[in-house]
Amino acid sequence: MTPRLRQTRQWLLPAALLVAWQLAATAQEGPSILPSPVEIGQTLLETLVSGRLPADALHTFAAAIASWVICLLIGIPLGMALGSAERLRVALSLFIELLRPLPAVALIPLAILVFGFSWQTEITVTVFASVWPLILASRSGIERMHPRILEVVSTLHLRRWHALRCVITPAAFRQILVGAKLSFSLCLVVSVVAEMVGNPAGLGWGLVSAQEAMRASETFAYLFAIGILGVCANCALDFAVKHLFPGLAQGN
Amino acid sequence: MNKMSRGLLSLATPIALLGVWGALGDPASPVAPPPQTWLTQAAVMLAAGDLQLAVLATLKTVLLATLVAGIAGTVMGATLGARRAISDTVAPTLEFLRSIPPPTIVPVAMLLIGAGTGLDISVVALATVWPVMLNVLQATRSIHPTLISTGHTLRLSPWSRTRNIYVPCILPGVIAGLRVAAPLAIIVALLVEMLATRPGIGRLLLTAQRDFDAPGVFALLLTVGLIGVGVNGAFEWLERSAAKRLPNAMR
Repeated sequence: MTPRLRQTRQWLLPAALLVAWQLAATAQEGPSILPSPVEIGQTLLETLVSGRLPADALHTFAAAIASWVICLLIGIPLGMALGSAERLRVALSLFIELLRPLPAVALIPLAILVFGFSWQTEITVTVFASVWPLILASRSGIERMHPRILEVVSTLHLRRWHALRCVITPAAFRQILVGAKLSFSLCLVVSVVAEMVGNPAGLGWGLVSAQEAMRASETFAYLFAIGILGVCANCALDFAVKHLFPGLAQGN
Repeated sequence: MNKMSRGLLSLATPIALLGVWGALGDPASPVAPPPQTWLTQAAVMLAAGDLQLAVLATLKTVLLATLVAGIAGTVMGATLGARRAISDTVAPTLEFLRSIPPPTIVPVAMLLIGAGTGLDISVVALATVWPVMLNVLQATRSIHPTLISTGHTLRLSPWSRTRNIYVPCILPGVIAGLRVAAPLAIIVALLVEMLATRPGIGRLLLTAQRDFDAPGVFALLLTVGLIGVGVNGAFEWLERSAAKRLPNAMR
């Protein structure tokens, strides 16, 4: 198969599906539950122009990025401490193993009890769900460091802070970066979920309220918007990482 | 540190924390009631019969949905893995569908299916089918060509080839996919129960929160944690026992 033909076939399927969907939606009689792609597109444009979708997206991104920053601030130091102090790691191991698998959704009611339906609820739940990959990545970044690096540190009589800044952090950086990327995509998803149940704002709430009002095309429009924005955000992060740390990205 | 003191130290932190909480916590606290109140509240819910029913409902959804996702994901993954032409054609479409976060399909499914009985299982299965499919796809693609041509050389029947070559090669992929899918299934099941008020632990959690029943919320969180540990443990055990039985070359 020539690459050209392969490409056309790749785009043919979604196009065919959309046409079939359109036909199925127009063919149905009575009150429609399945909106047609054209209707969804119109609603998407309307919500875009009226500024509701951008405002909701802005809220979700702000919450996700704020949670991500908190995750970075908690996860990296904690993970690095766990990686370098064996006693601490053992003392917290069971604790972490008990908390980590707890589904974030189940935590939303507890967060609502404490903070009410608010952005604090959203951020708490998001941080709780998204901090684990960072902790684990930073920990294994330290643990997998070559022993010789530590020997060099002690041979050079580097001061602790100096060693941490100039040797240990750069050595563990690649792992930490992987964890940070994972944590970012989790932050986006979990903040949408938290909005669906715990904080009446943003894209998640837009999705749920459209469904509750039985506005079908709006529900689909929000779903697609969430999917597309998620892909764009992750691509943007990949792009940023590739350009900020060109040396590291090659190995990935 | 030897094994014994490691074990003690790792046990010490949660026990100390719970102990301090239990000793100093205010039983009437609206947000952080001490652990003993969780247990009494759990006992109350058990006596009323709510808790058992909710646990059974959630477990049923999770297990049935993982079963459906396992079968559908295996079929899809094996088909895509075996036929390059098909997988090339559908790859971008699947990639887009996969990028939609699973929990967000819950409202759309409620709209299309309605908040009926079929909702929980179909939504959870839809959300969990991707990890199974991807793992099986990988497993199918990485079957060594020698194995397949050996089957042809030995003139094995299609049934015998399936049983002796394809199934043992793909099975680890299926199980690995299910292990990723199981925690996701629990999350989406809870979310469906919360949003569509379907019977289950998710709904009980929201009810407890609406009644400002903090001990109840903690008791249910504990239950969710135990279910998670149980389900994950079961799939890990499945993975280990399957790995033991498979011939070395297939692992």
